[in-house]
Amino acid sequence: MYRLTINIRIALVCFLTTLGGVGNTFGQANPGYLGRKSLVQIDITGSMGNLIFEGPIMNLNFGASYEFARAKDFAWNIGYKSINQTMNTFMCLGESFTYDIPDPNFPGSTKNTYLTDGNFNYHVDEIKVASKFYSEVKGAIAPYGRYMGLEFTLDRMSFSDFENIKWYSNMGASINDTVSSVAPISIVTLSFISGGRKMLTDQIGLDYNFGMGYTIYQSTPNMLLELVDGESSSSDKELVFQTMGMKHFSTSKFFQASVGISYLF
Amino acid sequence: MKYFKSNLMLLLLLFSQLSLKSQNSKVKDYNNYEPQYCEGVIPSILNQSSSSKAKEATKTIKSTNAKRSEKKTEIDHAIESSFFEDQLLTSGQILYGDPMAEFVNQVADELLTDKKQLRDELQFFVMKSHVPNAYTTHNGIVVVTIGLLARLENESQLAVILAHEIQHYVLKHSLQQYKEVKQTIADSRSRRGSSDLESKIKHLYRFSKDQELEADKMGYELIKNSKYDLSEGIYVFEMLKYSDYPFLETTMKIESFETPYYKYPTHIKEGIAKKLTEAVAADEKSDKEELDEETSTHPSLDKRINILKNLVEQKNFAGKQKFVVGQKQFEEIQKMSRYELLLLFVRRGDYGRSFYLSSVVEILYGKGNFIDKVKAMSLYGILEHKIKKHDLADYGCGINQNRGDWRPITAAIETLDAKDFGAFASKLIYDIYSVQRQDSFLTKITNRTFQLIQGKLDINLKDFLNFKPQDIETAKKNVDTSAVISTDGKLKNPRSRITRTSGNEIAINSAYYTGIFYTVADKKALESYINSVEQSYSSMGTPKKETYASKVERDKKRYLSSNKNISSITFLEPKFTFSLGRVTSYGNDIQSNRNYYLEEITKKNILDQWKFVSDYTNMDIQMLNNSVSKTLKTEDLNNYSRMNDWLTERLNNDTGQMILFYSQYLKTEAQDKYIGWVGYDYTEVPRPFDPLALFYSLYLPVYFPFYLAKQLQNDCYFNQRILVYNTETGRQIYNNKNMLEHKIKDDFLKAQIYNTIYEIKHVEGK
Repeated sequence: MYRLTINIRIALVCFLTTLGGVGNTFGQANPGYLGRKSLVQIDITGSMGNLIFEGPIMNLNFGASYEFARAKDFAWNIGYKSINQTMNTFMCLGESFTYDIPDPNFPGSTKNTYLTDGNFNYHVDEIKVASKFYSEVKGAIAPYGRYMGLEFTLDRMSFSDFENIKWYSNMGASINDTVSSVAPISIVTLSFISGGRKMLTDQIGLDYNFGMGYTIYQSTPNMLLELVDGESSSSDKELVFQTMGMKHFSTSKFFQASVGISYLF
Repeated sequence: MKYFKSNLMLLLLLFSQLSLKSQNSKVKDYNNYEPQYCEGVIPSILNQSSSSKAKEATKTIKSTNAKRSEKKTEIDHAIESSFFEDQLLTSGQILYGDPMAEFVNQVADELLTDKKQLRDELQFFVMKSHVPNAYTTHNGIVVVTIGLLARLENESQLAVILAHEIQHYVLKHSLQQYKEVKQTIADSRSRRGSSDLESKIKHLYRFSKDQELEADKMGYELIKNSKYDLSEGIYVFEMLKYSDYPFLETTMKIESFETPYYKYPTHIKEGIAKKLTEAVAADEKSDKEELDEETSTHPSLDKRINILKNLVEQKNFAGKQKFVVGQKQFEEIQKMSRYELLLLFVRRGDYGRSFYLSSVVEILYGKGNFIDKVKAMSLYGILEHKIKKHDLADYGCGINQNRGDWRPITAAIETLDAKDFGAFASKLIYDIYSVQRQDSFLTKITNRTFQLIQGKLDINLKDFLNFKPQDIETAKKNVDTSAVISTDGKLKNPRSRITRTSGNEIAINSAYYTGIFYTVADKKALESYINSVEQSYSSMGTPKKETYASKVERDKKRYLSSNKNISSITFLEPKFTFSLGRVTSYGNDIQSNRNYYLEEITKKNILDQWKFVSDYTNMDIQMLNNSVSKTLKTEDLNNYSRMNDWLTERLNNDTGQMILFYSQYLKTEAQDKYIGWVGYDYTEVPRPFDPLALFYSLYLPVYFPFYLAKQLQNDCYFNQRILVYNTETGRQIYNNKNMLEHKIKDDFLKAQIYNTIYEIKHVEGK
């Protein structure tokens, strides 16, 4: 599970395969569910990747999306999701996020510094594009029934509300080194999704969706593997926060479950 | 007073005229015969739901003191019988209230005059089947087929059959047999896909040899106490023995169609003769196999005849009558059943048989439009299938199936190649058409026949007009017979012999069938007709050869062009089977037991969903109702039967498009332009254990609950089959078979039905 060696090229192949598949499904125009081919959807997503961290298991976020069926069994889904998470050092127990600062006592050398206390928020604006194959049954009518698909997201992660940040050096002294701002990160993720839609009335449907995903690109210089497992160490203070945020966000993509309500039109 | 009297006389006169008129309207118009449907009030058993009948039967069985295991079997049998009987009676194949069924009921009344209670328990119906047979169900429904009525000679014979069937009911043979062969029935009956009504009725009400003999014996007692003549029973068995033969025979050979200008070449005649001798040899072989009594359920007919003969000789049956209800009535229903039999053969697509029998009926009852039409239809039907190179044994021309005097003509039809037969059929059809040119159905058939022989068989219609008798003579002279016989001492390749003879044959062949129209009286009319056909055909354009690219283009057009013209479809009420089963060996064999109660409920739900989609879309969907309910009427059943007949005929003809005989009997063609058939078949089977899925779920514990939920649910197989036909052209416009793995839920059904309607509207292009 931890061997995430997939690179962006493989992801591209997946994406192109999806597009290729779409081309083949245009055999017949889409009848839609009782003639309705588009929908808007509001959902709550629970990201369960937080299991790795100490803290609340579920991270609940609200999202909205628009879906339009293009073929009898295929639909595009475009959406926006806002993710907010408060991080504290308690959540990172057992993990060590360090950065090196110059040691004034021994010029030319550095000393390792641990983050021991403090809170900060990260906020993610996520735009998603998902291709859904309504593959459950022969003669399925998108957007209805069960589906499988691929979901690409483009995320912008920003940091704020740094409070009570405290550092502790391995020499045994606490260091006051406040942080005012951390540069935002761009992230691209890919998830395999599956789910379904059951109609409650002729126009309102109940949605459920499961996803398994991972980061395929991020703008920070960390190794992807580092974000998931192992200790990170750098000389950049900002990178400590970026790594913490990334690690939390990236692992939360492992298991996603969402429940939503959609309105077909 | 005088004024009053005269008025009274007038009134009386009027009344008598009215009553005469009403009598006249009841008399069947055999010249323009139309298929017989049910008449009068619907039997009360069809106004009570099947489930309530089954529940009542279950209750009475439960209150008895029988063993628990026996009770269970009895309950199973009662439930199955109750539901099956309703299915049978509403199948569109059963007649009640019509002259034939009424007559059968009258004979039953006569038989059971002393046993009023038994008479009340029994109900007699006529079944539209060409097979001479009769059945009795567990709850006292006796069914006599039209095939049987058409073969009977007098009323006593019918009485003997009814007496026998009544005894099956009295002795509760079906229950006994059910208990004995429960396992074998369960094995063969419930295999998915086998739902043919006749095969099922045979399975459910098949009796052992001992039971047959017992019913014979008791039946004879019943006859002895009645006014009927028992000795007629001997004929019944003889008739059953000759069930492969036509009900009455007349010699009909291909030579009878020859004229001085139209003679069949010797190789054709030899071919027919060879086939006939082969068939006789095959008959002897199959007769020997049939002698093996082990394989048949009924005791051998000879044995039954002997028993009856002994009985008849022992006792004096003086004073017994052949007719009690009346000879006239019997002859009337005999005639009717024979006309119906013609229709049944046409509906079955047994065109060889219907062609032969139409000649028999013509000799018997005189000429008529109806008989002419049957003849024309039979010839046209055979031509369609000959062109498609279908096995004609499936279309009533099987030499081995046809025994007796219909064999020579059917053998000839099978032997003639498409071109030879095309000319033959077109002449006979034209003869019929030339007398009734105003008939729209005959016009359609004749036009299509001439188009077929010109377009598909490359016969130049002008050849018929340009034929001169001298052509045959010159062709005959050109045959160099010396080349075949010559022995000049030189060695020759035997192959050259074949080439020469066949070359000579071709010289005659090309001329031989063109002379067929030479005997037509009104040659001017023929010429103008052929010219008009040629013109209409050329305006249609000759069909282009289809390449892959053009096929793709055509499909694309079909899919993209929406046909807004389809605004109404008439559907037969959906067939639905609901069964719970088990997998006997992994992955292939599924045994299932039908859950009749759930079927009844779900069928209602399916109908609701169809109604919903009908209201929701602009499509006017008319559902022809035939399920047992309080509101079911005779009219509903007749509407259902009429459409069912058309569909049966269409399904029996495996062609792309065909003009059908029953299209004459649709209400109006515009109203019934599109006919559809829907069938659903749902089976739930416990999901087989999937070790791989378990392994994955253990590896990713989050998925374990999902695995468990899936494993605990049953596997669903939901088959959906929808067929839609255009009754004008006989073309199938929609055929969809879906195997879905989904539970029956409202939203799913709605979506599927909507999708179907959408596809129907979009699939048929121009």
